[in-house]
Amino acid sequence: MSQPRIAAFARSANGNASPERIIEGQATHLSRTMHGLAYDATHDEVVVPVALGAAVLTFRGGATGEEPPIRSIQGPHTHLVRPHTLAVDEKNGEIIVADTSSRSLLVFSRDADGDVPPKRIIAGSKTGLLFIVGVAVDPVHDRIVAASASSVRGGTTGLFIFGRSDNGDIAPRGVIAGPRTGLVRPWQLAIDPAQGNVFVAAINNENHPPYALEMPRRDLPPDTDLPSPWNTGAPGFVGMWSINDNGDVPPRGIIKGPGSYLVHPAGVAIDPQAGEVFVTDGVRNGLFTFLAPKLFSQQAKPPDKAADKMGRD
Amino acid sequence: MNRIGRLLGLTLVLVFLPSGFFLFKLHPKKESPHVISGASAIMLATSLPTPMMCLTPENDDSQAFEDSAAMGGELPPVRLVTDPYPTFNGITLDAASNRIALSDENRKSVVVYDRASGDNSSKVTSPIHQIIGPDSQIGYIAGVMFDPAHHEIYAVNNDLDDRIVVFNDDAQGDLKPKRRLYVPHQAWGLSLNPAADQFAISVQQLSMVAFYRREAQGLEAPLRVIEGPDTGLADPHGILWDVKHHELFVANHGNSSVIASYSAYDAGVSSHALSLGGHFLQPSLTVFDDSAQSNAKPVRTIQGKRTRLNWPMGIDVDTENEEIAVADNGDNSILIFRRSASGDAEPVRVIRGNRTGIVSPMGVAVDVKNNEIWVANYGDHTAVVFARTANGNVAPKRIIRNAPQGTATGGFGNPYAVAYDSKRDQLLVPN
Repeated sequence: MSQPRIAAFARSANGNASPERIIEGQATHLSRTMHGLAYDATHDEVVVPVALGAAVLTFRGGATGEEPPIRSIQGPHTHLVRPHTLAVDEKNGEIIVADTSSRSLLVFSRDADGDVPPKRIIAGSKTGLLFIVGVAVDPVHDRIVAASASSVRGGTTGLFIFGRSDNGDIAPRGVIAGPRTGLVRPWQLAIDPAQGNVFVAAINNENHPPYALEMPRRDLPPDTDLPSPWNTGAPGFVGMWSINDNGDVPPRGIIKGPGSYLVHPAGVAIDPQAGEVFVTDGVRNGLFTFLAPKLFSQQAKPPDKAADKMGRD
Repeated sequence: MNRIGRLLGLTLVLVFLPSGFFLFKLHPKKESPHVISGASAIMLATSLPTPMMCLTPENDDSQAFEDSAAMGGELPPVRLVTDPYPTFNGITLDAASNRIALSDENRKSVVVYDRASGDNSSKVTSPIHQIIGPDSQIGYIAGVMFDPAHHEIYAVNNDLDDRIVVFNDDAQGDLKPKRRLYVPHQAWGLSLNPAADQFAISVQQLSMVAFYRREAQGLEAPLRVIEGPDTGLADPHGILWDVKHHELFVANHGNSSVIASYSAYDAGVSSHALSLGGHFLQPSLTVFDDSAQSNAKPVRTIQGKRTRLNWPMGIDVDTENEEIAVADNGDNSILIFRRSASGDAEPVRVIRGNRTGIVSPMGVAVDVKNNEIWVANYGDHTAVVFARTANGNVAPKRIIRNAPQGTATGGFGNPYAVAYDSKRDQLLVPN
């Protein structure tokens, strides 16, 4: 993409619509690769990662035009290298940042500003985290969920579930991964704390980068024919799992198929009160709204037995 | 051929629109019959450059996944915001053949117009031809470049499809590129040096310039790179090789950090990158000797408040009149500097204001032969043409439209996230 902006569309927008406001311009400090952002309704703020500037920015909720952020987390003490996505824990006053380059989840105070160290870091070989592109927090069930992808031998692609206050090189309390999950490449996450469900945008477009940073990958033959990431073999979907699920388990709810028009959905957000699921899709280059009240109903609440299986906390 | 590729044995459908033509492959049996309110059939057809796929599970495990969900399923969207028209980005001019080509990031195409086309009406301008479709391997493209000597046109994919695709300059429709060169992720601009038989590209996330043989293809490595803390490169975008003066101009947004491991193929973590942290530098134009490599210092840098640089995107250098033109995206303007400007230099001319029709400009091209300057707008469905010496709040001489005047511009650019602002009942979508 070329213009690293944040556009705000009316929820009711449909068809070819212009945004109602746009946060853009040099003073915003925005960069591309905003693979997650959060609206903090309690404090009326928008929080977004800046991958190419190794920063986390907080804007006024109603920010528009070339408006600078009200807070910036950036600097060598932050441990930020390439933050892709984040979540805000409004209840506990924290920002959880997923960094694809340092392979870590970094937890900051919500009001952190400047070159400040994270309060907690979840990283290391025991975590199983590698290319972390999705993160969400459930303050009711005290869980952090990360979507991580791995093409390294022995690595796992799936959802990694940690305790909210976990710290250091610690094993996840649950991992949702395997062929029955349908997860090839999970991306943005959203959580419905009331029902304890995790919504996952499964973009599922297998990505085979030809380069390792500035040089061609040595493990590829010179005449390699890499498939386009837009056409690699499997359409994506939006799946829903319980925060207590673990292992190779299929989703409890799903939006998929030709009738959904989804090809490779990457972004997901929810409005449980309206029963709506919002999805962005890179192939369609657009914004979808699905009405799925059942996914937010008591019917969607996982049975207690599933919760008991966790038994870790 | 992969599974989806096999499914693409589809009917080619030409959808003729007032704006010209758009080529799509539609799957006659797989598309949903659902009607989506607010989106006409033509809008939907033109907004779906890739057909929907319905795959047959390969094994029992995936069948378990297919059969598993108790809730949801194949729901149609109740609302769908998408822009069915092209959104211009890069621009390149071939004065000899009187053609202008623009990259289209939204519908993923290259659109070629007659240089003299466009007018001041509200009508859509018909292109000469358009390259579009899955076989073209054009994705979220940015830079585009004519090679008049070899009758070729280059396009660089900026997102996900990490490749440059090269076509004959009369290519049309959905066809395979004649050459394909893989490049680092987030390549943005490219510029050719016919004398050296090389071209250079800018790479955003690596803050790097890479040089390749003109005919490089496949996994061929760059001949050399400019990269490092002394270069001043920071989230580079536009790039221009000034063959006459043996210099290379690069436009930088100023986002600076050192990347370590990036892809899912590498488990390593760089303590060096961890120790550096990120920085927001002022936007700049960095000028290098064109033989520069590694951690070379620029020979000049235009940077500072007086420059008015604000998300500088595409650039062009007019070597006859000794000027640099910059698409100043964040300020909805075109800045003109002296070619030899350095430091906190003021532009010698600025095209800006409500009469100009400049909205989030991405590309700029100077036509010395016809004494004009072209601007590719991202924030409107237009490219606008001015007299080369235009200054201030002036109306364009001509307008190329890829959609009827007044058409909304969604401005999506591979949206990978969304958030719900419950206070304003808005959906926040970053590019």
